[in-house]
Amino acid sequence: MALPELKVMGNAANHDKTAYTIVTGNADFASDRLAGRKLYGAVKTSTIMRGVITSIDASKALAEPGVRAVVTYEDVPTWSDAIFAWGQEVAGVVADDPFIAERALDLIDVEYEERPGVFDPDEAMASGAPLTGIRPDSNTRLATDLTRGDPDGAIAAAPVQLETTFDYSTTYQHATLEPHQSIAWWVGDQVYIWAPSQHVFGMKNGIVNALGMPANKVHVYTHFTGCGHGDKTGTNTGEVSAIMSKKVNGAPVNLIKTRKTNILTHSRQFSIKSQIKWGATQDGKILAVDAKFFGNGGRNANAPIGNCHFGLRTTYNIPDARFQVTIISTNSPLTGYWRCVNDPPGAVNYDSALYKLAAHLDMDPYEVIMNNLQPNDAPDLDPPNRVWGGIAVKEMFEWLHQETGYASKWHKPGTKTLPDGRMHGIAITGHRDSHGAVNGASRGMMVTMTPDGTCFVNVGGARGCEGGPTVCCHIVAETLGMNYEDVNLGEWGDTDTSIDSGIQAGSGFTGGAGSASVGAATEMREKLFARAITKAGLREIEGIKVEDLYAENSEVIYRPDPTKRITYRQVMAGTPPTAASGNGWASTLRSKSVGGVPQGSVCNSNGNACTAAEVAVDPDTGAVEVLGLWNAVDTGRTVFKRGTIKEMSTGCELQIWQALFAGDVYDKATGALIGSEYTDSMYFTPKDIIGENLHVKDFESDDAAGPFGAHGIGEPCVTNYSSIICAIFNATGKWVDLDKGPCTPNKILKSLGKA
Amino acid sequence: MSEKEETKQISRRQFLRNAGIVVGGTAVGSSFLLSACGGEEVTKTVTKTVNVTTATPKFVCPYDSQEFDTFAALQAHVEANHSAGDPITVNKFVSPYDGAEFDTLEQLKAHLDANFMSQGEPGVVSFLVNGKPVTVKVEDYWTLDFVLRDRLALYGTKVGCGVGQCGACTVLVDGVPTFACLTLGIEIAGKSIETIESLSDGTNLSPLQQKFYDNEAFQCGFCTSGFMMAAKALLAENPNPTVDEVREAVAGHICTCGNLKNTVATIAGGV
Repeated sequence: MALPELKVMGNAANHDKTAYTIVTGNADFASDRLAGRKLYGAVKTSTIMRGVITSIDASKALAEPGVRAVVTYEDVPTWSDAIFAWGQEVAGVVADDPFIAERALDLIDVEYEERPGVFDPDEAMASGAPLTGIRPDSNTRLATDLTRGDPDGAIAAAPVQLETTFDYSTTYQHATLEPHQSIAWWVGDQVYIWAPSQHVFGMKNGIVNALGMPANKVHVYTHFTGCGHGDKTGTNTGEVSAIMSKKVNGAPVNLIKTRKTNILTHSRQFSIKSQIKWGATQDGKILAVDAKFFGNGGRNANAPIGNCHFGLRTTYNIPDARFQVTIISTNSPLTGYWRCVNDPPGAVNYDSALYKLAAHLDMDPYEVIMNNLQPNDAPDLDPPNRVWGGIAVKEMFEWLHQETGYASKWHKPGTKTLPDGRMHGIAITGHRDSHGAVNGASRGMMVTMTPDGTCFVNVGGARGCEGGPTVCCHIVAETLGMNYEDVNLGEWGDTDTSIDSGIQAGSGFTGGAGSASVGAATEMREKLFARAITKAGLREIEGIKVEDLYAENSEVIYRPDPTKRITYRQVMAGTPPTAASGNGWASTLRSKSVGGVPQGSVCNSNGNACTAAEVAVDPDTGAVEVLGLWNAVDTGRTVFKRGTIKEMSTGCELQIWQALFAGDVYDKATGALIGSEYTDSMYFTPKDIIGENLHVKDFESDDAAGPFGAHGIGEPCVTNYSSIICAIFNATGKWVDLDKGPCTPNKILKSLGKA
Repeated sequence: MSEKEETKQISRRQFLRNAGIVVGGTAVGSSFLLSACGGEEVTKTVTKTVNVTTATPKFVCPYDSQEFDTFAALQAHVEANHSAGDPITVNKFVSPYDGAEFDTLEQLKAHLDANFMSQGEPGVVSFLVNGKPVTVKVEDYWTLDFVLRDRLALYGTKVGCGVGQCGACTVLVDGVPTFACLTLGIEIAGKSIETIESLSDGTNLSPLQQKFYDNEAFQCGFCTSGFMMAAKALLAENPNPTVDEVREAVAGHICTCGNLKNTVATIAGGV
């Protein structure tokens, strides 16, 4: 398929606009300011799983030299005296330095009235279980209940019936390298806050609501976020540091959460188990599915688990189906998105179920996948029957099949031994996904053309891993027909001078801020073209109209005679010698008809990913070596090529971590987090990467839902977790009970009956 | 727990020992987390508290071993109690900042004057940062990263964990990559510290920075300073390291974005 030629977008020569800043150590993260002129904050957390605070005595802490103030749940609106998990915020200290503040936390005496808690999700679901208190009347909530056709009848009538189960998937920390931290100070009745937020306007709005202040008196800034993965979206540290600062008469307070507090008070990926019934033909045609998912939301009453079935629902053409997702509230830590809306915990459940079905049918799972794929252009099978875009899914599966040498490498589970005695396994998984959504018309962007004919882009969002502001610069340059080097990043992540560009999260930012970039640059272009026809070089052309112009390489060109052209510098020259600006807003409407869905209809672009893994498993030790990892992502159109490739590659590395390394350890009796991969030397290091055996490829398709058809990139490249787990099954012929943790050698040996 | 898992569990500590990382000093704080045991269920909690035991540098009288907080106090003591011509047979006048030994009080004073501008002040340390001499008053429990960031506004050094797990705070101490979060400020008297800010002149990138720029060997950028300082130390000893040599040298670093392949490949082969 021939796609429209793009000049700037997708150019691998283009660098991140913040690259120089980063390699010189000048990237200013939240705490990188006000040296020697600030106080420090620290946070104390609860030591019970469930109960109520009955008293807090901070007198000893306040008597400690260097301690300036103490805050408690009574000061912070988003804290509470009701404790729903071990490690919940209860108090904080402001002191002259962070070490005094940390030590003073131990001097605050907190008394609790303990109540029965439930840590385990299965126990929370059991009849007669004590209420966790997180939801008023039940420990469970049916978040999704969708039925298509008659799944019960179709399964009963199917030639092949199979029920598969998968126990809870891995729980892992967001573990951002930069801890949650912020600096806040007051000037009169106005508060200024620097914090690492993936959605700086969201943080601002949250603080406005929490403090009950006018929005124009709350100033929030984020330039860089030191890793987010979806965990840096709340108001917490910004709100708390603002309250701490208020306690010390507005002096700057730098709240830096220790690694321990960071882990305790922020989120981790939820774990999911499933019961899936299949109805199929002997040759692998899936006729019906009844899929029940159960996700542990911890103390997060609104844990975003309800869409974990999405890939199974949208990727395969199954006429009769039921999808139910139950969210379980437990007295365990917060859960949330991990770099992805639906996966990997959902995907590892339904992908493994699909592999179990294939094994039951004595078929190659790749064959089952391809036999049941939804056609690329087919609308969603469920109302409102949208076209999801992402029409390269089939091609990505086929690319993986070819690149991995799958045809010659796949074998029936547990049947191939390498010359060194290890068991060999390979697997391909993948799906459509939904988090490339265009985030609505609230996303905005500003573009300013300077008198010398260059322009800068003012982005209302932070710079994250995928280089969101750089993405916007690409799109603006493409829209204006400018050279990439003529477009620079202006201020960004500044709620005083920017429009809300949405959440800085790969595909979401591309869909929202990127779409707004098109709007802003288009408005700018109209102004510039109107000015261009008044300038020497073009004004002499009789009857010239704005519609006759186009721009390329920072020149405005007369279409009927391309020799007649002037530069943007010439356009901007003369009177008035002032900058021109354009504002844009995100469009949620499809820019052209795709798959029978008309132009102008509401759209929701996709982020689709397919992955493959090849492993060797030592039958004596259970050790897993990832021999190769492949990642294909449908980007729609690739915007920032370097950022896209890196984002895909990093997704692969993190999936190795999730599959084989990650995992919290809790004391179930008390609910205490007593170990994590981050603090206990278990995090993956440069010694654990597979380097040259890691392969990624971006696929472009002809979607019309995002800017120039771009879905964005970021979250979708996270199904390697599934492919690694399925590849281990292909190697050993046994499924590993993950039990909410990583696929460790010990668990593999257990699956083999050796431990 | 299997033997294999135990090996993995301690492997990072082995990295720290073997990767040229100097874990200096005794950090303030407490360790709360039990080993993860590969995600297996653990039912007891182990708590370990590390106390600060490092004291303010002392000036010791070589005649009677009395200790003084300042050079001036030592000088007054010696002049009042010991003859200028008394022989020193066993001990020397010792600089508490760098351990240098001298036969006379005058020689010690000259050494201190030349190297430590504010000698004798308790809690004051003088050292070189990026080639420039600085003198900073520090509390004895302040870590080097705090001294660099909060006293000297050198924000390029990032702090990811504060417990020696991530390597983000790596700086060079006398050329050796060192976790600043595990090094006390008072330990660096008389030493030479290099931070990420030393790598360029403010305008032109160093060859190492240029290669990181060309390859965009970063994601969020929070770990980048630490990796680059470790890379600088490695390349000083091994200008053309292999991928495996790089992986070994930077094994004490983590990247929670997952950009290790790119970073390692960028350092490999040198600049």
